[in-house]
Amino acid sequence: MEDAQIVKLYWARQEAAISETEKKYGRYCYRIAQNILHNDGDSEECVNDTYMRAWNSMPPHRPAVLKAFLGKITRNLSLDKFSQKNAEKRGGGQVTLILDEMRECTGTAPNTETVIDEIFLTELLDGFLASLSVTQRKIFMRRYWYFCSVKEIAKGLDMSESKVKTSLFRSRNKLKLLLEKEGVLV
Amino acid sequence: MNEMCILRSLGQVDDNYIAEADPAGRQSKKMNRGIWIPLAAGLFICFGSIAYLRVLQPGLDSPAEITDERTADLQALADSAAETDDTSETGKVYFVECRMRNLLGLPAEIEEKYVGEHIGYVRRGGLYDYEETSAESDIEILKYVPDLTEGVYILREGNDYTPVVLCDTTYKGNETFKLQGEERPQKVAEIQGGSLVLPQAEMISFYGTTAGTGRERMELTEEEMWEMIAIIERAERIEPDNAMNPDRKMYGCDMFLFLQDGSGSQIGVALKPFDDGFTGVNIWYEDPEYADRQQFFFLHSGELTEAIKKITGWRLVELSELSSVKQIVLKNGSCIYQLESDECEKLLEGMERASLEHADTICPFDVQVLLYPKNGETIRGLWCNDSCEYLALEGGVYRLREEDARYIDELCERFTTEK
Repeated sequence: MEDAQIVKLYWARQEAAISETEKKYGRYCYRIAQNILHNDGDSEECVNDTYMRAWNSMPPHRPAVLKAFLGKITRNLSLDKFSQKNAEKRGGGQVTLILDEMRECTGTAPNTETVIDEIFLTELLDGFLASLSVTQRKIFMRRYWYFCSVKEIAKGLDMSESKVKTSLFRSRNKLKLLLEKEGVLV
Repeated sequence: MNEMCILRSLGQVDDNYIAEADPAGRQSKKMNRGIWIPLAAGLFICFGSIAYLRVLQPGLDSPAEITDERTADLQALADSAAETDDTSETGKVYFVECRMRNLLGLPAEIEEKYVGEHIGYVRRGGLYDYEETSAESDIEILKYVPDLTEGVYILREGNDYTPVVLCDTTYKGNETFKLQGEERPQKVAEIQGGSLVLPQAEMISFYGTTAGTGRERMELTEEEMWEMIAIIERAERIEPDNAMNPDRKMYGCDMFLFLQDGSGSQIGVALKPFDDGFTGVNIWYEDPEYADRQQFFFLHSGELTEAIKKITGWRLVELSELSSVKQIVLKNGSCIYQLESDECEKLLEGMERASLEHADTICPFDVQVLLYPKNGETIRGLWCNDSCEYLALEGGVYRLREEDARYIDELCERFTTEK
């Protein structure tokens, strides 16, 4: 079923919207959750919550790219669950590694209560992503949005792991410079 | 702000970037590196370096008959794809613009006289690909009447005629430039490694002649091979963290050893020499089960770098030599892209503006840039394809301006990554 039709079902408050969403994007959402949580039960729970969140969001939302809309919900829910489950003890998996990598961009800045305007930061990130080549951007997004391992990225994009690592290293440096320049990092 | 804050903000970026990077999107097919090296004892085969050099020869024979079943076949392929593909992109038959016409024996300009009967309607599915649509559109797929090569069709947009080849519906990224034309769409659906429209024997020749460095291919004798192995064994192994040297320059040459042991296990070794006596070594295994054993380290041995330079015929290229280049080919593994003349011209202008500089030693030079000057020789370069601005060109490493570097990346995008 086309995305527009599925969105129409949501707006018409027909429960078929959820079954159609599950049919078309269930695996996609599950994969995102699983990359973050590495736990079948938790991942399934996040995916189910995604459907409910989508049900409650449409209307009023009418997403232009349904897939990305659902992916964002799943990713947020999964990160919430990850934070909740790892509040006391950091677990293994890609998220821990990725957080360590991202710390290169934030440096040793303390986790202050200063609220960086999330919209501003997202705009910065959009600009940063636009400045990357398509390949670099895919590598960056697969690592930091989809939480894929370096090995998975290398395989999916048909390149060596060392190349993926090099690209990520350069992108992180570039992001760090941008954040410093924009005063996000002091 | 902390790292989690960035990750969360990243979650809200433009939907298009999210969709673009979806790992479950069309996967690019693993390149057939075609070069394997053995590690174990009992090495059998050893070919030194990448060297080849025959001018591209279209050389096609035995025109294939066009069958009336083709239209039905296309529909069958579309139906088949719809049944098996569970992604949102179902039921599509892709064609990709054929940009390497000379390799298929096609004329430089396609005229109306080459056009046969109507096959179907298509719509744009990307920059160079088109998908079949059941609805009437302004773009039409037609038979190619001379049909010198299997799988070639004609795309008509107004009075413009473009040759296209049928493309595998599973892989339409870097594989498309392998010209996956097939007479029978059912066969296209089965393509895994990208069979060519050319006969198998021709395919080997095709890759061979376009992988050239300007010199004859060098096959080492058994004695020479063992001597190389001995040099490698004598060299000092240095881990990457202990081998950093910001003043290091990379020689624009490298060597691949591909060997196998008695059990058939194959291992590839790539050697990239630098001007300070270090050689980067990348080892990989053909068997996916041992993929984790891939290694990268350095060997420190002036003897080794000299041996590689000698075997590969290393020389320092003056940028002024580029003025006589008439053709450029980009090659990544078995994927090949021959530049159009305007692309070639623009790329050369960028190279001529480059400056000879020190190399970034972590550059993963993956893409070969083969330049063919009028004198019949070949100038071989290496490119990272990750927005790095360094181009290794035979003996030197040159830093390009940012916009020129970006242009090469754009060209590489067209054939080395999925769309």
